[in-house]
Amino acid sequence: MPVGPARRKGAWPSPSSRRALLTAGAFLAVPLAGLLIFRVGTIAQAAANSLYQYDLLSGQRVFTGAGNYLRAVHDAGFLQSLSVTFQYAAMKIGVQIPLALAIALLMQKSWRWASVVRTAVYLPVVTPFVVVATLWALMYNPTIGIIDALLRKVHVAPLNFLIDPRLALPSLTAVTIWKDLGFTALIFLAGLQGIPQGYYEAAQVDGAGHWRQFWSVTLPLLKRFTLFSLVIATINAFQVYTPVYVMTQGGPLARTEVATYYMYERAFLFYQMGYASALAIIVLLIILGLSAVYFRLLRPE
Amino acid sequence: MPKPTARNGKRSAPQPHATDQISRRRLLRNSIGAFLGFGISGYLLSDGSQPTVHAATAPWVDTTGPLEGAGREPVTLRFLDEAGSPWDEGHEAMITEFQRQYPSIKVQRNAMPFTELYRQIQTQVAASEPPDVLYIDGPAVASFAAENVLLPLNPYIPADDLHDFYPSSLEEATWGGKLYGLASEQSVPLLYYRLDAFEAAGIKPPDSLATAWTWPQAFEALKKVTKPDRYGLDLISGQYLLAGCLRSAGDPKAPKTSSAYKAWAGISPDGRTVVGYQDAPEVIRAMQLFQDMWKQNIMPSSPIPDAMPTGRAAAWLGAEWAEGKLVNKYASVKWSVTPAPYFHSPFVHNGSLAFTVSARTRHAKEAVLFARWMTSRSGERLWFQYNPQLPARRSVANTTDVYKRVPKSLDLQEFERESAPRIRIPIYTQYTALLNQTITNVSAGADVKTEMTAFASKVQTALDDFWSTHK
Repeated sequence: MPVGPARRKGAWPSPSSRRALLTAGAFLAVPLAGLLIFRVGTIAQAAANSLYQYDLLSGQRVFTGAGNYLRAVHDAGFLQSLSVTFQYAAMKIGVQIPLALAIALLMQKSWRWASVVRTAVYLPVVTPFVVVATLWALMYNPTIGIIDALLRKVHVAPLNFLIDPRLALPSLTAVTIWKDLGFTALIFLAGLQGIPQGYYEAAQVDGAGHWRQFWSVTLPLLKRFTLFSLVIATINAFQVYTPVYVMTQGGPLARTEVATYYMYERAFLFYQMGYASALAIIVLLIILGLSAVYFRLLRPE
Repeated sequence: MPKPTARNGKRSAPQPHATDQISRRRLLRNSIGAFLGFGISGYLLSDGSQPTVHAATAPWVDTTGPLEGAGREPVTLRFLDEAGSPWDEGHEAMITEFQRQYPSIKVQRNAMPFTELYRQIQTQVAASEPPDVLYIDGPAVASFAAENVLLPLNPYIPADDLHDFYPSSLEEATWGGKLYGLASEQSVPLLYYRLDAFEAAGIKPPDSLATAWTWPQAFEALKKVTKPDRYGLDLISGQYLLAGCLRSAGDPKAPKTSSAYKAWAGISPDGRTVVGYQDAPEVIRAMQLFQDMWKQNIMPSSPIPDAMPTGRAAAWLGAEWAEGKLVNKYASVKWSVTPAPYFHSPFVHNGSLAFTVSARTRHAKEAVLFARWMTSRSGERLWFQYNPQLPARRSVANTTDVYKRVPKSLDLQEFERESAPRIRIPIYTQYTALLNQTITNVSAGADVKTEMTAFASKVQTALDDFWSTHK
């Protein structure tokens, strides 16, 4: 949008510039107000709540200062939930990012079923998570689930995917990878389509094979897209809640009790809204910290 | 009595019973009250806008005494109800009849699935917008009452009317000596079993309370009906079914300081201690038996919808709602029923949801009137046509013929002789969530003693937190 000619430092903008600024401001006012009230405002409210012992039902508030934060540091349950969250995030990102890139490379090729594959990969993304989690919980059911039925066909004993403490978290992670894979693949696809063909032709002239082209051309030029995917996948991993709520309720033996579910329990089962707010702020800081590390490591050269 | 069919969803609107047993004096008083009430309102509304009242049916709850003036002004009540069948059709029909009898009161029903009810109430209370009337699970009444969310109902209900309710129905909705809720039905668990499975195994389960199985006996029988493609028993639910079984490992007649009594009581009489109660040795031994059943694939560790009627389990520990499902949805399944097994003392949990009134309602009299009307004798009879479960009023249960015959006679006997409400604990959601987590862990093979001790300790911590802020 034009904002008028350059003006002297300290001078008022010209009437036409002022009009343009007002128009821009008017357009931005509504989304900005929404952002301030529903994003920044709620985070600020949570930060304020975290300084109180605050009972949701009775509304009782007692100022405790940093008490909730000190409690969190010594809360074995919260520390365990953070550990579960990191394990979950590592598994999810470790599998999802390479797999999404591989699928994007497949989708990039011009072949007959490319559009069908793209739709199939993206379909889980637009399916509500509650539906996905419910369906997978049924599929994982050792008695009526299709997965164990197939295993029985090949004479493999049924697996208690969501009950066995060793399998519960990987099983849950597989569902979220399946759900989010399409989104990450689509980001990589956009990145791949933005790489000029000339780079590959130059590499071929230099004698580079497919593998060498991938390492020396594709991957470096996808750095920004990889960074974006990593940041989004990390944030999503730390926000995971729905599949835990629907499929495992944090169990068995708290092996799927991620930090958000632990927060939910403190807030809505134990009514400890102040403490839950402190945990939310801690998780927010962790996500911000990790994002900063990613940006630092993958800074475009 | 006409029975609505559950399948086609089309029910002829049942007519309310006009045969309440009321004394002549009360009838006269009601008639005079109604005559004067309608006469005065007719006079006051002489612009021709007075509501049409069907003279054929007298109002089921009189609006004299503490409820005097209820419904005099137009009022809209917000009612938070459970969603699904039979509440959708049953409560809607009852609301229609209520509004016909009290035309100035409009009831706005908002229904939520059972699992969402609690959260919905929390949210609305936290937002200072609670509904006027809330349909709450029995043990949760204590929890909300402890937070001053609910209105005590005693001042609004004549003592002679309360005497008609089964005492345990009132006990479940009482906190701090005050009554906060009225139930329209009750329930107790029974063991429903497939005749084909048990006959093939040559097992004839007991058919009377006197000969009821103990859990070790049931274990042996269930082991015999368990097959590679069929579990012996479907038992999933936590605080109502399984916790009741665990309490039967205790003894209500033992000295109050003994672990046997504590195992049965579940919580100390002052409501402040659960350590030593929830993890009493008797409870741990009982839980061990359930873990053995999970380990031996007698019970599924993941829920299976309708496991027993679909043949994936031979037996089902359920209540009358299970019977309703068997009758309406699985009519071809041949089944029978045996009393719920027990460990040491014949004991089961009873309970139901209750109509409660928000402490913040601006229409207290109308809200109480609605709660009382829904749980009146005629209200319970009407409700029974949609939901054939044990009525919460003795007078209705005793005059409902089906409770004189098996299987419902067993429900009534078990309820009257062997049942008590679930423990009353002000941190009901925490208790339930922690119990469910513990059950999941035990079913996954965790050490029973460690789990039960940790469970009691966590509930105790939450309880201590509660009492530290609620003097």
